Amino acid sequence: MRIESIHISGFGKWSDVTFDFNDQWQVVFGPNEAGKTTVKAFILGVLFGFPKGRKAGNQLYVPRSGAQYGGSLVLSTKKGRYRVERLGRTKSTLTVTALDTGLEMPNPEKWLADLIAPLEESDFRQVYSFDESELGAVAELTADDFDQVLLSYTRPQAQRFLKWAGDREEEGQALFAQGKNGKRPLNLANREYQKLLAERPAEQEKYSRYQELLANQEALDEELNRSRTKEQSLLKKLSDQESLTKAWPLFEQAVKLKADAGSKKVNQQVQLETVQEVQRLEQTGNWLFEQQQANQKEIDKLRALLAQPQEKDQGQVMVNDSLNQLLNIQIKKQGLVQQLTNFAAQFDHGLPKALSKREQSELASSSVMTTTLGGIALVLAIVIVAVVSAPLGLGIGIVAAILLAKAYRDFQARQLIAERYQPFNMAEAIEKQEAVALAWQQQAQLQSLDQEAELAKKQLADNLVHYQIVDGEKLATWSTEQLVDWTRKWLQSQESTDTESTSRRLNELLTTGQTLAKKIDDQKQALSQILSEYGVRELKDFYQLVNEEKADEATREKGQLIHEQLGQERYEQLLSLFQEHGAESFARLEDELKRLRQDLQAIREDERGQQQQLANQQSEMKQLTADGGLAQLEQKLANQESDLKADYTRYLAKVLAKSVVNQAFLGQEDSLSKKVLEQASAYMAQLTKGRYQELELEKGRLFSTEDSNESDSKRTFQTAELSSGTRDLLFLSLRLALASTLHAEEPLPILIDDALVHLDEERREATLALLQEVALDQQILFWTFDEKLNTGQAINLLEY
Amino acid sequence: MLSFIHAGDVHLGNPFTGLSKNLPKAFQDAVADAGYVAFDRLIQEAIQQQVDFVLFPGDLMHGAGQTARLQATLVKGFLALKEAGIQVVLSFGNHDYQAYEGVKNAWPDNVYVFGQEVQEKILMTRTGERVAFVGFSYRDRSERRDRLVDFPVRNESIDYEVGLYHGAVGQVGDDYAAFSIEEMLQKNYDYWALGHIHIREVLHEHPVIAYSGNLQGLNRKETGPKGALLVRDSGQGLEPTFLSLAPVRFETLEMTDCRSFLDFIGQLKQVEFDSTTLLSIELNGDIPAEMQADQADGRLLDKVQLALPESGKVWPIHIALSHKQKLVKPAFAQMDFDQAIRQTIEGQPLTANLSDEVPLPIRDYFTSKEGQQAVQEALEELFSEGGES
Repeated sequence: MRIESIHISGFGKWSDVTFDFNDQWQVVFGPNEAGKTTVKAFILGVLFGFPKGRKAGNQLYVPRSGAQYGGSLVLSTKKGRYRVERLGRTKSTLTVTALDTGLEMPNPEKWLADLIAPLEESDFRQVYSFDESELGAVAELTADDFDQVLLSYTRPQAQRFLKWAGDREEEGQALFAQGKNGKRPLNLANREYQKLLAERPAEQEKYSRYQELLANQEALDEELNRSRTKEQSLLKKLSDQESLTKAWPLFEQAVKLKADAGSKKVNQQVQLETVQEVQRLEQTGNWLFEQQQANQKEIDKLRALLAQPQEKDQGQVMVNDSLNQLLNIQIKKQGLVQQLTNFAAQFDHGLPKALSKREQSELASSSVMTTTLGGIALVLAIVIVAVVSAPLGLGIGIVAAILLAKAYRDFQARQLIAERYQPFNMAEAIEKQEAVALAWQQQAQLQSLDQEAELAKKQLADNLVHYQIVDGEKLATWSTEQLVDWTRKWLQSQESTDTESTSRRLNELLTTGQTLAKKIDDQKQALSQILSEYGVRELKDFYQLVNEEKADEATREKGQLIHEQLGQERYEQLLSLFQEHGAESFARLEDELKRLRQDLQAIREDERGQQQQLANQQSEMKQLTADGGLAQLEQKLANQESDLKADYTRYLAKVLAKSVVNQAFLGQEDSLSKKVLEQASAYMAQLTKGRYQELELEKGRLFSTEDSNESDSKRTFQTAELSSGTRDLLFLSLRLALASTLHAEEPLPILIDDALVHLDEERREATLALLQEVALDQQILFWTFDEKLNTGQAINLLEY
Repeated sequence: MLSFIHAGDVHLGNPFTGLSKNLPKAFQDAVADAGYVAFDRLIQEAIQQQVDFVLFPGDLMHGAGQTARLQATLVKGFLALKEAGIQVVLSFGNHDYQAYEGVKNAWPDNVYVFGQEVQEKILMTRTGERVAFVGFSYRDRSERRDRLVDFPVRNESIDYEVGLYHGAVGQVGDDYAAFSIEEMLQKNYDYWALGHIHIREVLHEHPVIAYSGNLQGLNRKETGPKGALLVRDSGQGLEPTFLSLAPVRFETLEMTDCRSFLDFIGQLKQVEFDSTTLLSIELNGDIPAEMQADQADGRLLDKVQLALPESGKVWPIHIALSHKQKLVKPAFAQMDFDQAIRQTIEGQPLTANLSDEVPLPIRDYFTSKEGQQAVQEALEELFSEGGES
């Protein structure tokens, strides 16, 4: 690869400037501060990226002109010519354009990386780019360090990997210290694990404890069962005893009842059937008696009926009565009519009205007297007027007038009465007054009889209808005569049948009476027979006897009931107790009860104790089974083991990283390092004019072999034994050998910046000669302030 | 008709491996109870299905089974089976052989335990069929003798013959009662209930020779649903169906081409899990640099765990990034780093870097292939940073 030209858009002091590197050996001349290093930094910047950030020692090369930062290189490679352009400082853009086709590469960074692969930026900077300070530093190095530096230069990536692996190793060591009692995480984790492990025997112990508990539990269970059985039997006893004690009052009662029942004379027992028979007989007797009474009554009634006119039935009687009543009224009416007619026939003008009291008194006082008195008074008045005085005569005259008027009116009235009573005169009329009054009464009586007749007729009709003898409607059309006639005929037809049936019925009743009397006799006889069997004569005595027996029976039954309630066994127990201890029995029962209760309490306490013990044990067992015991511990151990394995894996990887790097880089001599050493040997021989011919690497140390001029003998020196000047040459030889050996396919340009200032004239000449020789194979850009090198092909920075 | 449950490798009391002590409490509890819950479910299932027998062909327990909870759980379970009229047929395997003398004495009488020589035991089903069970218990942590040769040929006078066998296919002399399927078939049994291998597998059908797998997965390699086999006579012979019983699952999730950590978490959260799951994640394809760096530093898993809710059903326990590209060989190197890593690990014992203070199981681990593999992977991850720290 060659860098044909560079174009700087803006970079440090340079802006918009183009340098053409026409030669393989390209000298760039410029005194100090002419911008030599800036140009080199620009080339590296385009290839690997511009310096970033404000890291110490990082120069940023911000263009002083303000032109756009960056620029481009034109590279010619085996694949063709390319322009590589990187613009912008903080966010630079890289463009790679194939100049043959004008096409842009799609992934320019990768294109660049591939260009120098497998080398990387660091390799390039270490191998292909070197400057004065590096060579200057060589002089300062101790021999050992020099070896290391040289070795690292022979394997540039190795150093980087070694450093990285060293960091990993440190990280690993931060995890775990090999020495005892380390305090690093894995040492602590170890101890935690060991501690947990130490718990294992205790956990295993727990199992024996569990087994012990298990065995013990069986014993305890048995013990508890025994206690429970005992408790059960005690409970039974207690319950029996309690029931005995409770039963005592009943028992006492039973004993008393028995004594009572025993004290009574033993009666002949009246069978229930007998009582029922007696009751039945009594009831039959009563019934028969009632029947007899009723029969007799009926007989009496019929006899009376036969003795008297026939009784009619109700309807007949009522009809008959109402008919008779009607007929009676009619007869009475006819009589009255006859009398009145006869009496009224005496008078011309019919029956006169009776004289009123006034009329009678007027007739009695006689009008003659009045007329007389009037006449007298009149006379007197005339007299007086004439004689005595006029006023007085006038007064008497008025009285005379009144009297006369009255007398006239009386006369007229008498005339009217006479006419009424014609043909009778006044005196006769007065005599007849009594008869006239009677006639008028009869007249009134007649009227009331008419009304009565109407009522009677209605009564009759109602009865006929009521007793359903005649239909009401039909009856309404009948006149009184028709009604009376029909009723008479109906009554006559009714009367004939009754007497016969009455006699027959009487005979029947008499027969029944005889039968009843016989039955009553039988019943009485049967009853008295039964009663006599029980030594009593009266029924009430019998019943008293039965009641007494019933009471007796009740007592016995109550006794029996109590007996049953007590049960035969209890009864006998109590009885035997009672027979033995009599009145003290109850106290004895209570004592026994108390004793049993105490026993029960004692056994229950035992049981509680056992249960408690069992519960404790079960809880301990539960604890033992629940916490997982050994299994849990082992799970914990397994988890810690798993963590430890993972952590130690990481630890081992970290501490082994260095071994791996060594294995990869330093494990064996290889063709590359051989090639490098051969090339370096050749360069060294050239630089030392054949004095040192051979370089060798052995166990990480570099040996140089000196050809003795005097003899065939060769002397081998370690680097430390070389003079500082020779070491400089050795360093240069190795660097150049690396640069020319690595990347042989596409040799990369070498950038050398004032690297030879420390060399003496002779060595510098030799070196320059070597460099120009090397430049035949690969481009070398050589920056220098040496005027002697500022020849025709050189680029003089002062001219830009 | 005969029915039974075949439950090999219950490993009751066995801790889960590969978990961290930083597991959230809920998962810790789930893990602590998982084996016991699975066992209780097994018992419930047996009772519900009204099987005649429950067969445990070895490794019922972790070690000698000497923990209180373990024994309490077993006894409780066995008693429940007894009450339901279910018999237990059991042999000890390479993990629980020590229990032979001890714990079995504490078990109820419905549990039949095979002796250390091959034995035949004839038992009756509920419906009166006679079943011959043949098996043996391990005497030691390994069994190199040919045990199958002692198994009698099918007893023709009984209704069924079932073998219980704890071992693996192999050559006589291998550690775990090696057998060949061919030889088993020659015995003419109706069913072979195998134990020892934790992966459920039917080695042969008609008659069935099968591993039930373990009841509960115990590490991230034992993925998927775990449980036991319910075996019934279908009329065409004894046929197993799987009963999923394990309450906690190990699962592996492969994910490809995550654009970023957030993208990865987003994708992860999309995945739904039915049961409590301890998840291993394998990332393939393009893996973002940030995640690679976190992984190399051992932070990635922590970050993923932080990004997921502790209350969720799933908890990531392991993340692996696959290295598609080989590590590049750096310039001037003798060999690429992959090779250098391998040579480094092979070249020296890893334990040289571990003092005696490091617990023995850890040191043992790094002498094992597995541990060396882990370190190799860690180094590969570390070097994938390419020497840039």
